[in-house]
Amino acid sequence: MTEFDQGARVNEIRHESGSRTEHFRLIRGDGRFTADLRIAGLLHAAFVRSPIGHARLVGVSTQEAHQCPGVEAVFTSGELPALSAQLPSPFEIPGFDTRLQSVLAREEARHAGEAAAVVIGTGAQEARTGATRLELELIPLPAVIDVEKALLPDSPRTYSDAAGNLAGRLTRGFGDVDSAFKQAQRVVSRRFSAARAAGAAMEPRCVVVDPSGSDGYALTVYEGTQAPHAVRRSIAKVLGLADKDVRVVAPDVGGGFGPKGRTYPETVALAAIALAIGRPLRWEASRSEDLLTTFHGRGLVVQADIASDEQGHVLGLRARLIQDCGAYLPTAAVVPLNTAQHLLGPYRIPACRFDLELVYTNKTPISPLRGGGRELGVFVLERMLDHLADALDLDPLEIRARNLLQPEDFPYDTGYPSRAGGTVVYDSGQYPACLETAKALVGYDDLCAAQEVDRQAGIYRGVGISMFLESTGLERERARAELTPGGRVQLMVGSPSTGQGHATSFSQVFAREARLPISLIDYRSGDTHLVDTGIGTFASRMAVIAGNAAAAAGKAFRERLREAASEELEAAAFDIDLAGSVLQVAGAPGRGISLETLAGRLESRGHLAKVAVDEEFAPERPTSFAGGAHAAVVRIDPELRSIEIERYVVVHDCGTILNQAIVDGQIHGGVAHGLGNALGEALLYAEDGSLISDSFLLYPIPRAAWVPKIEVKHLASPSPFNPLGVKGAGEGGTIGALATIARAVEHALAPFDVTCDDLPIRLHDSRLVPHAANRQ
Amino acid sequence: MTPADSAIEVRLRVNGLDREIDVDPCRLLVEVLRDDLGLTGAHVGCDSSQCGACVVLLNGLAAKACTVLAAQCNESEVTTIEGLSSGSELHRVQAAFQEHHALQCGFCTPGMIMTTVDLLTTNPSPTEAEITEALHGNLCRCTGYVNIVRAVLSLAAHSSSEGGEG
Amino acid sequence: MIPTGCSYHRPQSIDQAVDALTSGSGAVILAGGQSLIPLMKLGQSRPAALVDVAGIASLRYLNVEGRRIAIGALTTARDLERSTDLAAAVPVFAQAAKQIADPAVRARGTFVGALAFGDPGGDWPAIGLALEATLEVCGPSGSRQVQIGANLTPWEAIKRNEIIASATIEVPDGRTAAVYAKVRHPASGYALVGVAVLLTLDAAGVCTRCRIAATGALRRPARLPTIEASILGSNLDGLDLEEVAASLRAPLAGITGDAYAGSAQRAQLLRVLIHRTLHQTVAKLTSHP
Repeated sequence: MTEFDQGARVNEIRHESGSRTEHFRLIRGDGRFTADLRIAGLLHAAFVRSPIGHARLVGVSTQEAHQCPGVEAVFTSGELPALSAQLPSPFEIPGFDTRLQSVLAREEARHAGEAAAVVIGTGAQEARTGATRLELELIPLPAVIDVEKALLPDSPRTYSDAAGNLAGRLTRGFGDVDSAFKQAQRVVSRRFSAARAAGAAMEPRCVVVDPSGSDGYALTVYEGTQAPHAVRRSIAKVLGLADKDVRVVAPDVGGGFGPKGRTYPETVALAAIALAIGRPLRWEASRSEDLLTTFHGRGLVVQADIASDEQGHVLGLRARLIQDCGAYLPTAAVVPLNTAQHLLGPYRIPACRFDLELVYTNKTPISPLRGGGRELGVFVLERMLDHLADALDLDPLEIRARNLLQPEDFPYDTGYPSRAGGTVVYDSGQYPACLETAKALVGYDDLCAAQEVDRQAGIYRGVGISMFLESTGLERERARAELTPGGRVQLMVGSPSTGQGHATSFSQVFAREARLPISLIDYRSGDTHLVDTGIGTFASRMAVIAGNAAAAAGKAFRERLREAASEELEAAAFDIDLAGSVLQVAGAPGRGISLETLAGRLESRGHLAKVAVDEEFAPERPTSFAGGAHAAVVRIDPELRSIEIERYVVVHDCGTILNQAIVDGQIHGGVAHGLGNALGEALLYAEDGSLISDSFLLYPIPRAAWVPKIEVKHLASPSPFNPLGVKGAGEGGTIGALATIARAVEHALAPFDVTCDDLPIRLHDSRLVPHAANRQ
Repeated sequence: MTPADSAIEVRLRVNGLDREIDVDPCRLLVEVLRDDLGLTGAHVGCDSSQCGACVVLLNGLAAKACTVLAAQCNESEVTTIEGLSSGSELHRVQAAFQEHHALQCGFCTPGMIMTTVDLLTTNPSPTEAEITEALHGNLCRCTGYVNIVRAVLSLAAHSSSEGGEG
Repeated sequence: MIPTGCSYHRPQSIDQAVDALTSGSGAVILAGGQSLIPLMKLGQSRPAALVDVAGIASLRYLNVEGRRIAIGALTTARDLERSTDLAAAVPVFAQAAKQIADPAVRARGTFVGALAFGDPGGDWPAIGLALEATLEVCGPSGSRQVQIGANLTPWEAIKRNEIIASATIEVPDGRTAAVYAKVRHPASGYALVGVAVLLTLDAAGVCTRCRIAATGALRRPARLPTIEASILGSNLDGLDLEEVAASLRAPLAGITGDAYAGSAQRAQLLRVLIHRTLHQTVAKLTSHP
């Protein structure tokens, strides 16, 4: 059944939490984030931005800014060719009206925060003060804010030369949906929406560019990015350089969550200006600037119909997805495609058709954000199952049980067209067990039974359980390893860690395969100089792709070590074992050589490079599917309309676990992010397209007292699609949380007419009017 | 009226060392720590005194270094994350954060640790509710706070060891 | 980062502070700075000069003498939260302090500064109003006493060149209790709505004093005189507190709203908090007669 050596797989959870090697620096304040870098002669940049969503830029008055003390230079789009260039698109969508962002706005600003000028100062304060003195002459134009109204014929346009605001349409699906709906005994239709939300990584974006050439590159760029290689490609392309002339380094990265995986105009602008003036430059976003300009997530409206028989077996699913893309493509396009695919969830769905409409608005562009669109597919599907259960008077868990894929169904060909060609195939899973486990852990039956008594005492408590599925892994990644002259091992991966503990997990995987102690391994990543390729840390792909690359590198490294030792020890390579940091001839005590000695000898002969490996993992099926069930218990104060999350349980199946503490941490953080999206986070815009929620005074990040103690239970169905059997774990916490909370809130407020199909859920907008039937 | 932007002299004791610096009166403590003294452990995560990534101890009490002017700290004692421990020794709060995997990206961590140090000084046996309230002004986007609370709870005087497995 | 420059003064006495305020136009007092500095950073406040009063040692005190509490201008929320004497005499201070921002902000933000500033979502102004603080205000022509009442708020009572040196509170004799409750804004933590209640009952259970102050829901923190009047003189045993709270209508036009919490929502929360704080205050009076 599997294309890999069974012996390499471990069909049980590995409890190898140990100590996280990256923590030591960070807990002592020795982390090196981009803003912590100090370079001599550094100048600072500040951007001047449109405060409103749509305006014609008729002029820029720079004179006053030039006269500010400490202002060294002012740049507008015309000053350098690169400043009026478009940011390159990493992919094309045929038939789409693809509009790309310019580094600096020229004639028109199409979202609040779009930059039109840069002020360079001797210090950050000087640059910013200069920026406040620079005046953009803007003529306001009507702004497109509401994504549904944007599709009306009389709507203002984001692009005056376009016929409307539609960037393009896509249809996805399979099976005979029309006859499924004709045969159906029950059809339920609902509308859903999800507000725009922010990644809000705690580290705001920051870029440092060094054009000194001191490391042999024309340009070295430091940025807390999720994708240094993609940033390098964009910079090189815009500046007309070769990739090999540009080095991009992601130092410690203070969280990513998707939006930090893009190439931003500020990065390219700094690169162009630094190269032009020959001075190192830095730009650090304030939080307000970060909320305004770092790409947003979510922003979707869905109209969905589900067809079933009288027993609740799903016959077909239809949906129209309207994605708010903001002012520019292409990153937004990925999002509704993920949403659509995840509308299938872990269920047997015989037919579906999804119509996607991608719409331009005068808002910040959209990017995948923790979940990457998957969370809204799962949200809509799970909500539809809840509503279908209500319509059929079935328990919502029962309707799920009737439609879930069974363990013997895997690998399961969904029939859904894959973006990579062919169809989407789920690798493994045990969804019925996940559902039963969640139900038992949270005490579902008891909670339901206690509800009536609680309500009489004025306690409104509800429980929600829903399933989730997450496509994880993508593309390819490399792991390199080298023996150092001192006898240590340097392990290198292209894409950076943004908090996922790669240094620990990948060193651990490598060390196990190489049979070396983990303490000998130094891990480095996120530097295009060290590993020339890398796709990026997103799509919950790193454990799946880089994890397997590290394992392959470990295995190969062991062979290189044995070969090198065999020459030194005059023994056959296959006779040599590794014990700790000593290479030992099997059955011959005393005939051994320490790694340190071996390295020293190889170094002296110029042979150290013999013990170096470079392994790429690029599987035929790079995607594995993690999944499981979430359960939440909420208590609601109907007077204050406040929601307290009393318990939160995740039953999680991400196959083989590389490091349980790290996986648990990913789930905790993912759930907290989802709770924020479910219950409060929303980026709100005013009519003129200015952003209302432009600081942490107005954009609510979940706080400690509000996030419950999240309980995690693992069930492991290792993936047959990769040697380690891993599936990604970065986003399942968020993906499962939305529908779970929505159901729990509805359940608690069952006596009232409350429906939670719009995110974030705002009880204050509901009147909490009792159902006529329940009125006493 | 005194001319604007005239530097004033500020005397500080930072992590046990006496410092005398001339600062622009509008400069924030966190800017002086990071830019003038090279102490980059306190981070700037917001501009509205909400995130707490910049928390240091000012005369022994947690303070948001982004909401204090350096000028206000004349004759004050400042302890930053860098001054909490030396060599390979860890302060017990740092050790607990390490042990309980209470950090991921690590950006909010110095502020979390300094707030916790202050909490345990004034309340050696905080309850879980007291811990989450004390951390109200420290935002974290990675951990969901679960392991942070667990780490702090493990240090509470009444706590025998680690809490139950999740 | 504060984008524009300003000058800085560090007076050693109240007189020097008043001089600095008088001589420089656009000079403002800096005490804890927990409201002022964030506004300066966001460019919403651009004072020409800061008069940092932290060096005036005589402003740093908290005196608890029986039912009379004197709070110096430099006394922080944290001082009020931690004082055992104060907790014994007037527990509402610690109870309210715990609901303000976070420990780091409380360690620097001052009670008097919060009264002087009068943030629309500030917590201390509600306490100052409900407990009818008396302010000692110092200016070029000496000092004066200003009693805060239903029609006079602290921030209205002082001129630009005056400084509030202290706030004094006298808790009325008799069975008196006070409670503060708030609903935090989910992002900023300021009061979306906050209510402070002080009630005094006579031996027969008749309310001889009722002060109810609201914050968050109004353009500025304020007392709610019509609600107070409907309680004053009544025997609380016979009063339907929910009905009293529901009678809140008159100031509805003045209830503010924003994109996160509209005025209807804040009005609803205000009614609920008035009901609950009244209920809790009565409960305290009945459990500790």
